[in-house]
Amino acid sequence: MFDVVIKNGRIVDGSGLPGWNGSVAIADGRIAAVSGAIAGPARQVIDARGAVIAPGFIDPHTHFDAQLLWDGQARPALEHGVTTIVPGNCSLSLAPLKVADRRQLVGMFRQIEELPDAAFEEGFTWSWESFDGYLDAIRARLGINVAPLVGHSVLRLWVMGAASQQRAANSEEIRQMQNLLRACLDAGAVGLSTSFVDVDEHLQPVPSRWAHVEELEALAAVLGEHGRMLQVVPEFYNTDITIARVDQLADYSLNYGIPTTFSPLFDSVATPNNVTRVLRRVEEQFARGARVWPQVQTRPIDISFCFGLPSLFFGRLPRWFRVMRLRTDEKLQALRDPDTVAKLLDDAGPDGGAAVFGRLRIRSVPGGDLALVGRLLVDVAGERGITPARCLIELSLEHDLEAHFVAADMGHDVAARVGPMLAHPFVHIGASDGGAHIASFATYGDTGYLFSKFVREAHSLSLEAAVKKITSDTASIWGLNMRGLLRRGYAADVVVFDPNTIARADEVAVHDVPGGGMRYIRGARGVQSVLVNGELAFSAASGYTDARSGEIAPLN
Amino acid sequence: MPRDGAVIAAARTTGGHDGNAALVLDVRYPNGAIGEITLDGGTGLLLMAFCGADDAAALVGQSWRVLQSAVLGRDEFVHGTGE
Repeated sequence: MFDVVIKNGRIVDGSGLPGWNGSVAIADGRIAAVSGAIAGPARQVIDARGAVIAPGFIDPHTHFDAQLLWDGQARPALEHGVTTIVPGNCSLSLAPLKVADRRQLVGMFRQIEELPDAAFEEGFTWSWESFDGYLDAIRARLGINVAPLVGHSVLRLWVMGAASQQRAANSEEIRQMQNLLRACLDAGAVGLSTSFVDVDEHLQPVPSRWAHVEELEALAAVLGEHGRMLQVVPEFYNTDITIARVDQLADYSLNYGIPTTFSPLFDSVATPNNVTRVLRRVEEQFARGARVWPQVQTRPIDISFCFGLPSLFFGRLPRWFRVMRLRTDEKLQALRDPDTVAKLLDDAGPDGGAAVFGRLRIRSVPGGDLALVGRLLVDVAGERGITPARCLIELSLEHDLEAHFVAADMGHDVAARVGPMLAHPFVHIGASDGGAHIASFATYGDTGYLFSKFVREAHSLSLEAAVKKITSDTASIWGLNMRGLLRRGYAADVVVFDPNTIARADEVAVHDVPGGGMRYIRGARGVQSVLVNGELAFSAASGYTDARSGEIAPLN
Repeated sequence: MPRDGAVIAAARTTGGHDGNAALVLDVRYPNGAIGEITLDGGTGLLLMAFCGADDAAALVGQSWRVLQSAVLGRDEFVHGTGE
């Protein structure tokens, strides 16, 4: 008797080989058979006719560390078919952490993930200091698999306290960090994350940025004892420095036998040679035998703004820019002044701002007026019989400068350029940042976007190649044991989806963060069933189940 | 071009990793080489304020040293004046 049989689907097994018609049987949380015809009864049968049966997707760059303490399914990642996540990126994890240092770390999380303080006060009870203590705290409610990184900043904070953001470590402190990292790796950490970029809530460099090269190399040596991953946020704002970091990571990879990965790396018409140059160096380092995996995101970059705060969105519209930099009372006065408004409208161009503002959508307004939210500014302007530029001003005044607008596809948005990047053999599809930037934009649905944009629309990858990129490739890169393929004996992480409709849904604001906090999310389209270790965790028909079958992912 | 170093040769806005508009600068070095640097929204705004610029194009010709000043002082954003 099988526990589950998923029958009559198209098997896309994560290997990259062409799909074929068949069924998958599951028993005891593992894949029991993958065959054209499966004989034998099952407690549960899922009909996948017309759909793809694939391994669960693996997201290698997330910040769900805190969310997992109140939401073990990492919603909405799971409903997109993501069955394994890697939290703890960018030098920050929630363990190991001394009680005395909680306040300081929460400030860093607030800055990077935009989680409000209340989430840390009302969302969970702090019950750990050690890394394995944190894993115990999340384990009982896990509905998704977790391969956690330990953050370099947190190691520094534990060993050096406040001095972690003041100076380099001495040899004894480095030795203590090495021992602490060993303990984390022994407890199940998939590797170490560090950052050369991030800042805390006071805009001061996070602890990892104070490390001298000897410290990071000493920690890389410990990773080498276990063959585990080093994840890095390089100075991505400058191509030359990023290339220098590629060389540094390559040396660590070769000297200590470890895989390394870095992100973000994204394309823009404003920086057209960035990805090309970085990838060229990555190719050279792979030719040397190093493993330096650049993570490239699938989704385009959207930018948002409201009149309450200055934005470089207006960096080429001098009169608008001047008004946006005023104090709030002055700004309101200026936007109500006919002479100033006339100059603003003139600045917006003879088309009334259709060219510069035409793509804007109204993202949110206080009270969430459904007649406005989600709509194109140009459409609302048309209804009002005014130009888009005047409509932008009117809406901002009507909502006390708290009407938020989003300009979609402002970078990493040219499919003819991004598609080949995603298909590149050395590019690791990731960098979703799931669980971070929660009040700025939705970091979910990148897998659906991969299929809708780059498989169906741009034909940059085959369906099979796209599945391989986010399943077996990811498992191999990170050393996840028995995951990422539909093979007998592998973990039964399975997603059933319609290849003709899988996509990300529109972005919406929800208020489900503990303490009443808001975040932007996206639901999934075309994902029919998601199984985690053999248990149905989500179905399009019934939503999330009570299954809590996730685990701390075993490593090779 | 100042004798002591590089100057900003071009400035343009783009989408930033954090969902805010960012500023991309081309910096031309005395030997003719051009480097590219992306400033996040906060730093870019401070640079504009530091230079008294209302238009990114007005940054062109400024010494690279204004970048240093903006980065070092980015938590002290100075409001400009409006019309």
